[in-house]
Amino acid sequence: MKLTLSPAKAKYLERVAAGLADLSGEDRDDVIQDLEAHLVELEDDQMVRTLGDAEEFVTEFRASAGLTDRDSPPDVSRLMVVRARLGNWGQRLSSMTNWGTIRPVWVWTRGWLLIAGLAVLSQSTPFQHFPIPTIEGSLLGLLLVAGATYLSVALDRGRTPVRQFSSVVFSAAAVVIMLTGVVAGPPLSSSGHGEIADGAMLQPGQLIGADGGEVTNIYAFDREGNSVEVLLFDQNGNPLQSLPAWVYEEAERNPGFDEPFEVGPFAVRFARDEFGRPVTNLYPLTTLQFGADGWMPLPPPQLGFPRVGGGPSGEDAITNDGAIVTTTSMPELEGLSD
Amino acid sequence: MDSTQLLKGVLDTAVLAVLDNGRTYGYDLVRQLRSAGFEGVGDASVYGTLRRLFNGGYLASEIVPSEEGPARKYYGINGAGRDMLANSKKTWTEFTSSMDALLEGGEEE
Repeated sequence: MKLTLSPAKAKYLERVAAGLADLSGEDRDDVIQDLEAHLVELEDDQMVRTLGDAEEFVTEFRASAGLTDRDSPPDVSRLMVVRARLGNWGQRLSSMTNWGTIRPVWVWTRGWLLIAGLAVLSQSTPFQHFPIPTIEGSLLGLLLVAGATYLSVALDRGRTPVRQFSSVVFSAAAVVIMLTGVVAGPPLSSSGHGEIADGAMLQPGQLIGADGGEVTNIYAFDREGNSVEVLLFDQNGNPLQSLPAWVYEEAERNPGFDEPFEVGPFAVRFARDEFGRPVTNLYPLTTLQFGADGWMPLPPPQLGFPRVGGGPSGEDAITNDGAIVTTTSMPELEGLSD
Repeated sequence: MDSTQLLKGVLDTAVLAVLDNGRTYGYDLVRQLRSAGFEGVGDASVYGTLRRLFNGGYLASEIVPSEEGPARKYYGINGAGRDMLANSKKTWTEFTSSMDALLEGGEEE
């Protein structure tokens, strides 16, 4: 059965706590905790005999601890009051969360959290070799984690005020950096793909250009430099999509919707087949911009495409930059109209 | 000579010496000091010394839950504490040697 304090001992403890009320929360709470465990070992009649009355205990404790006399005005600055309150909250939270058991785990893992958070914030592929954070390579990440862990444990072992404060700052930094990385960093992907130049994330099916920018439209030209409309499919026969998925979902859900789909700074109007259904992979897409006169077509980009030499369709041709261009016959399509 | 006053002067060293043998909690620390012959040491003085040494960075602590009563805070000596104990031992040895020599010289006379 768990021993608890008798009313007399509880009152003794209260009076000692009152006599030490000017101390910092941690100092006072530590003493009270020690004294409580001590009182449990004594009978009631031993208490005053061995410890002295509460006021005598406080006086003797202060003298040996090198603390200021209670009668002299305590140096209770605002910082001390805040520190005392934080200490009290910390003590309550510690009791609620069984902090004594969790603490060693926290001390050993907060170094990893700190470095992992930095990796998430600074790297596009922060966990190429999970659980080692990748910062300019996994080896540097491993060394940083080892160093941070060593520092974390060293700060926890010392109990000077400077080390205590440093340990708290270390914990706070680990939590803040990791939370910031989770909220503001890129998804924890190991592929390295899926990110475009302005930091937004691509949706599946969206296209990315060589410059890391999003590809939203495709312009095709024949050998003579004439613009052509093409239906584009990927290697699996799926229509090539260059816009966010919601546009195609909306087009499929509302095939009769004839207004342009607004996609960020521009809008898109799809071509229709003979049944009025949107044809989403006929390129170039008709892109529009809203102006004073309503929706106006966006002009095509100024292109400097390579002159294509070689024979008629079906023969290989060499472009100016040495690439080989092979033309194929277009699939037969019916009923396409704008 | 009042040994209580002497003990107050060396209580830091006595506490560190007890903890150097193994970590323990406050009540047991007082018991060990009394068993070692320091009957006059006050419990409050021991706790005050523990607090001062702990805040000075010479001790580590660990709270151990107890099924029989409130959780106990166990104190143990750390590296800085061992350094302090070693210096205190050296100082004590020199002091007692000098004092012994002085007292023996006085007796001879």
